[in-house]
Order: sequence, then C-alpha cells, then structure tokens
Amino acid sequence: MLTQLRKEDAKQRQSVNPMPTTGPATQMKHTSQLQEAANNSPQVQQLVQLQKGASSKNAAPLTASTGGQTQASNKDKKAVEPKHNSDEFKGKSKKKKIKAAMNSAYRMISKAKGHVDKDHPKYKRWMDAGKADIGNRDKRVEHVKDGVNKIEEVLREEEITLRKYGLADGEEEETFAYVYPDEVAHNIYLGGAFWDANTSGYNSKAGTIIHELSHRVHSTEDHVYGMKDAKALAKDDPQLAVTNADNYEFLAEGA
Amino acid sequence: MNSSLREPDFRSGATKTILLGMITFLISVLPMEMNAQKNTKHLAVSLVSESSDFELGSAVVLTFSVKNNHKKAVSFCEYMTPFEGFNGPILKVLDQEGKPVQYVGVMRKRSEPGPDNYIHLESGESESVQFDLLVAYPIKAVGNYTVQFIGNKYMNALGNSEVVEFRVR
Repeated sequence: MLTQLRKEDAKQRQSVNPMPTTGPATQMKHTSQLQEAANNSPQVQQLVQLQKGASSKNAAPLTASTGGQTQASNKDKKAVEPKHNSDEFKGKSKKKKIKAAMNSAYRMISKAKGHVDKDHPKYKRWMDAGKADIGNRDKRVEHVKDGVNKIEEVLREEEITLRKYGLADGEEEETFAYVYPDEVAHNIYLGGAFWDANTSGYNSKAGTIIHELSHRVHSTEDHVYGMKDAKALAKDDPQLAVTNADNYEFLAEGA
Repeated sequence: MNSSLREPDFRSGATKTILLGMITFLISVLPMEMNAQKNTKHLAVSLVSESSDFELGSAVVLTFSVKNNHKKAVSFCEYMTPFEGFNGPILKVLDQEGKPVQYVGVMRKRSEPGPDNYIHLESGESESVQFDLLVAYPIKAVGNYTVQFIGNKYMNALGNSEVVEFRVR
C-alpha cells in the first residue's frame, strides 16, 4: 500500500503545479529581486503577476506594495479569492453561489492545514484514527499534508472553471460534481446535488470543490462515499483513507 | 393506582401498535444495509473479451458478469462496477511493457449508495453487462494488453476478475 502512495506521488501531473510554492510573506519580501529577475525570466514574471493579483484586487503596480510588509501580508491572507470562471451559468444567483463556495473552499482548506497532525482529533477522525497498526503513520501525515497543500495552492494560484453537467447518463440529480482527472484545465462539472447543498459544512458546495480538486491534484479515488464509511476507513484502513476524496472533503469541512 | 398510570402501559392497544410499527420499521430498514455486502464471497466475478484481437481504434468489447454461487440470494452494490458505467478506475489495463493505460473517465462526488443501487441475485442467478473498454481507457498503440476488473472491498465487496489478454493490431 505504501508503494501505492509513492506511485501516486510520482503520478503528480505537471500541468497542475507549474509554479514554485511560496507563502505570501516570503513573496512580499523578495518583491524587488523578483522584479529584476522578471525582466529575464517569463516564469518569474508570472510569479510577480500572481503577487500583484494577491496583494490587491485591482492588481496595483508593484511599487505600491512597498509600505509595511507585515501589514500587507496579513491583508493578503484575507483578500485571497480563488480565481474562477462561471461564465457557463447565465443567472446571477448561480454565479454568486459559486463565488461563495469558492471563497469558502479556500478558507476551509487553509484552516484544515493546521489540523494535519497525527494527534489532532480531526485528523484522527477523518484520516487515521491510529488504532490499526498498519503501515507508517508519519508517511500518511506527510501524504495528507502534501494533498492539503496542493488543494490550497491550486485554489490560490490557478483558475478553476465551473461547468454545467454534460453527461446524458440520468445521474445529474444525484451527482454533486465530477471531474476528468486527465483534463489539462481545472474543470469542475456541477450536478443537481451541488445546487441543493449548503455553501459550507458537511457535504457542502465548498466541500464538493475540495473533493473534486483532490481527484485532480492529489490522485485521490472514491473508495467509499459518505461520512459513516469515511470515518470507518480512517479506523480500519487508514492507508486507503488518505487516498479517498471524501476523507479530504470531510477533514476540510470539519475544520 | 395513580403511580401505575404514569408508567407506560405496554398492554394497551395503542402502545402495542406503536411498538410493533417501530420494530417492523427497524426490521425493514436495518438489514438492507447490513445484508448488502454479506456473502459476496459467493459471487463469482468474470471478465471475458469478445475477441482475442481487435483493430486499433475499433471498440474493445468486454463482458462483465457476476454469478451467485451461494445457496441463498445475495445483493451487491453496483457502485464501481461496470453495471453503472465508469465512475472511477475500476479496471487495471496494462500494455505489453506492464505500463498502465490511464483512466480517462469521470470521477464523481455523490452520496453513499441507496437501496436502488444494489443488484439482487437469487441463488444460481447471474447478471452481465457488455461495454467498450475504450470509453474509459484509450488504447493508442498496437500491441498486447491485459485487463482485469479490480473489486472495491468497501463499495461493492466483489473480488477481482481473472486477467484477460487481448491484442490490438
């Protein structure tokens, strides 16, 4: 099973993480160096663009962010609104619901980062109860940490496109959402159950987004569905729990 | 007398009806889920290829069957079986170098399975479904391939099928 974990790590799709991971504070600190480097490297230029997007909704020029580094960093944290495209939905109401869900998904996953610890009760409930003496608990923590970071990163740095249900399989009403794991763009296709769900909390719109992104960026599968079975998995088969999409969703929803 | 009136009277007709109703409800609801994945070890899973070789680009037709070899009826969940189509990587498809062919179908968030998602097989009964492998596992090169159904311990509690070999020319 650990071999499986390692394989999944290796399976990480390149299209998903084109950017180096840097926290907002570190990014602010190196603004001037980056500005210089940006003239020579298109990738760094992209990173500077990202900083601009994060530091102000109106993408203020870099020179405007010179005052009070700590203050600016704190402001950045609050201001993150995941970039997304909901153009397929014509009504204002659906666009508004999607925006609220995206913002909530980012808040949830950011908060969940602090719970990824083998002794944290929420981590124990949804990922690894620590009862079964199976495999390596520390490796599982690392695997979950990696997944939660990747989900947060994709929400912070990339554009997610929310799309209409596109299958003629008669399952639209029962489906919250689906994705194609091999698609290059981050498309999430929404089903009827998504619109019936609350914005946040268990089995919510925000949680659905986290569930789907875990398939895309962390190669999770659906070994079980639902809170009862996800909890049982964390007790009896934690190696599978840390690769199950619902377990990531519930960890974030309960954060 | 007064104190005995305050106790629930199990002999009264109304209380009996309520209790009976509750018991009937529990009997009808509880075993559904508990029996669902019981005795699935008696279910024989098989995967058969329509042909031993296919032309590149034409459908790779496979038949998936489950037969109940138990003396009693057995139910199993259709989630993550070909009976419901593809909702996850339920097959292991390898090329001649042993490299996996990537799953390209959907991955879906949905609720836990309900009673309608169970397939009931009487003793000796079997159920089959035919499907095109290429719908979820695109094969883009000629060569020898193997395919196997991988049972999901928790979702459908079915075993793996035997490994099926075929050639694409």
